[in-house]
Amino acid sequence: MAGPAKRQGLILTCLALLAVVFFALDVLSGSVAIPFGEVMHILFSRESENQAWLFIVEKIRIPKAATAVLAGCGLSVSGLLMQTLFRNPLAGPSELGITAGAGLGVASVMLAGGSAGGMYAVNQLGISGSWLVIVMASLGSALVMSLILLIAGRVKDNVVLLIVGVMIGTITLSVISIWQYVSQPEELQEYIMWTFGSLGGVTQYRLFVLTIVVLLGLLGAFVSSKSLNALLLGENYARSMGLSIVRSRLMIMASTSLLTGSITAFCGPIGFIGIAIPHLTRALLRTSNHRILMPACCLSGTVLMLFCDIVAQLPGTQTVIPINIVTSLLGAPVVIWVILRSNNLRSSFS
Amino acid sequence: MKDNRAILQTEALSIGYRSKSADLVIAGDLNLSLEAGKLVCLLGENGSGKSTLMRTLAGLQPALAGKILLGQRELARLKPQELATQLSLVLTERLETGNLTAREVITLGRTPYTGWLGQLSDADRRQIDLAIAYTATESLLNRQISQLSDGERQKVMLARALTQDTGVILLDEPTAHLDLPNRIGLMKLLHRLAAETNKAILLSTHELDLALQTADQLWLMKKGGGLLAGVPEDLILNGSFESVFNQDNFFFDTNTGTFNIQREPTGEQVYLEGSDKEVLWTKKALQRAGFSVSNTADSRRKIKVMHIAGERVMWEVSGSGSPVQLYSIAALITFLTSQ
Repeated sequence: MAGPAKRQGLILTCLALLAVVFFALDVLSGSVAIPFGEVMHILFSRESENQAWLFIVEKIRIPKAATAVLAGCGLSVSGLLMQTLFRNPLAGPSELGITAGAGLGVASVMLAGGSAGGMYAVNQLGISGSWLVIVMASLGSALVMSLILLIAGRVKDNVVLLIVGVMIGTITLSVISIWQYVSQPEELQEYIMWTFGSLGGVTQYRLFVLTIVVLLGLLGAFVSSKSLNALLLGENYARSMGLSIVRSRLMIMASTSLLTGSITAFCGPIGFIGIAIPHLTRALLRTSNHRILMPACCLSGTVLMLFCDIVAQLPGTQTVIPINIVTSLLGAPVVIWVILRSNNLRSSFS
Repeated sequence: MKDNRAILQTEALSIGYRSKSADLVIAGDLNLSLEAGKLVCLLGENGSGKSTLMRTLAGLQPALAGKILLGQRELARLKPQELATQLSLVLTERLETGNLTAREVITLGRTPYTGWLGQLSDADRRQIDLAIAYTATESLLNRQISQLSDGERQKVMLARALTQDTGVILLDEPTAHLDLPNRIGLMKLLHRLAAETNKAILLSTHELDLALQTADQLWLMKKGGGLLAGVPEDLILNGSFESVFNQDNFFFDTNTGTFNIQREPTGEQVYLEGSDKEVLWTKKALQRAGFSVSNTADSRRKIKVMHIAGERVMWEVSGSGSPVQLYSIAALITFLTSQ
């Protein structure tokens, strides 16, 4: 027992150190070059002689890095929850249309009612507007998730469920498209910018709101660890061990919807992190025990999200590419690897 | 059927499936009783409803009518967690657990007892160690469950059920994927567990021979409903066993306690004599080859089995020309059929 536990402890420590290093690197990188020493100085003392640098680091880069951490944790954990709940290695927030559901929620706020909606109006609403977007996005996620869960009860084939999920995602996106078609150009532009995904738009009170909701979702996920472990043996065994299936499912679905909904609401749809990170983490730690996987997914999700953000800034250039493109470029190969590695996906779950 | 030692009892239980139009009753009016310290084997043909009965008793499927009593309380009214401390399961379904070690799976048996974090107390650890010792799974603990053989995995799943520390354990065809030594080992272990831990253990199986030898009680399920319960030997002597299992093409031999395949004696009749052991096996071979064997000397051809110098056995066929000596059953069959 000492062997694997020691190895897992070592890997977790390494991941934690990597997360700290990448956080610093992320704060360091950006279109304005700020010397390493100065960034460290600002990080620790929160003051600088150059007010512009202080503003950039404090008001832009630190919130963005913090958002990356929240998004990395939240999306990875919601992917892990979904993979265990659906007993399907191909489950993930963006793959099964949960992100699209969140998008529908966001669209309902941004595009609805002409002048009453719009991101500008939402910004004017302040904190209550942020809550509104998050609530709608989470409800949208929950709606799609319930639908998928309903279908998952009938469909036992993982790939079929994936296709159904993709289709539901497509339907949801079509509904959004109709909405876009009849919307005002200025609203449309904001919505389209949102779909590219950005960690940069989350500042001040929005970061505060996002932090609270993501922590709430993570808390729900951690509390569900025990049920998730029991669910690994299948629903019949889980029930025979005293698990209330309905209650556990509700808890897991609520956590997933909160995590995916809130992150998608503020950062836009970020693909592949949710499906890829749990697989990479399981392969790294060689365990399916959620008590270990949950914190491990948070750490590796943080590391990968920060890395993607650094890459997105295209270090050394003035250009920033949307985060969604970077995560897809890095994440999609992982999904291909998962499919290729297992000839029979059903028997090689996780 | 009221009994003080009974842990689980059913009263006029009716099992089957509910549908919108009409209920499909698989078996009705079952009055059964599982006693502490007894191993009970549930036998029946495919499709007789063994799995449905197991699932209903386990609370995985609602009963159509009647009651299941666990102790003094009705099973349907127990909360999932209360039920989990009184009844545990070993199922046939193949596990798709991914990377869980045997120890982690066994530890999951404590789920109904641990807090929301799943932290183990000393009592939990003692129960886990006890289950591991009973099932002799020490050497498997650090291995991934997916890498274990079927026999090893079944032992781990049994250890998990023992860890759950319940008065009743239900096993759905636990011997299904096992080879003969593992089947015997598992049945012996279950019999010992029932006696030593005073648990009531019910298992469904197709292993008639093993069930006859190890079960304290048999439940025989008839196709089309109905269930006969009793001590194996009683069921044999009163003809229940035959009534459930006899079919056109094989029959249960109450003299030897084995199943024999019924053969049409199509070929000629031969006479066979010699010492008991040799006659027994020669007869089996001849019957398989289509001969009918008689023990009166009125057949045309006569076979005499005898020991010759040393340990060698010789078959002498007479009745068609001069006697022929043969030195194996294979040669005997070839000779008889070639004529």
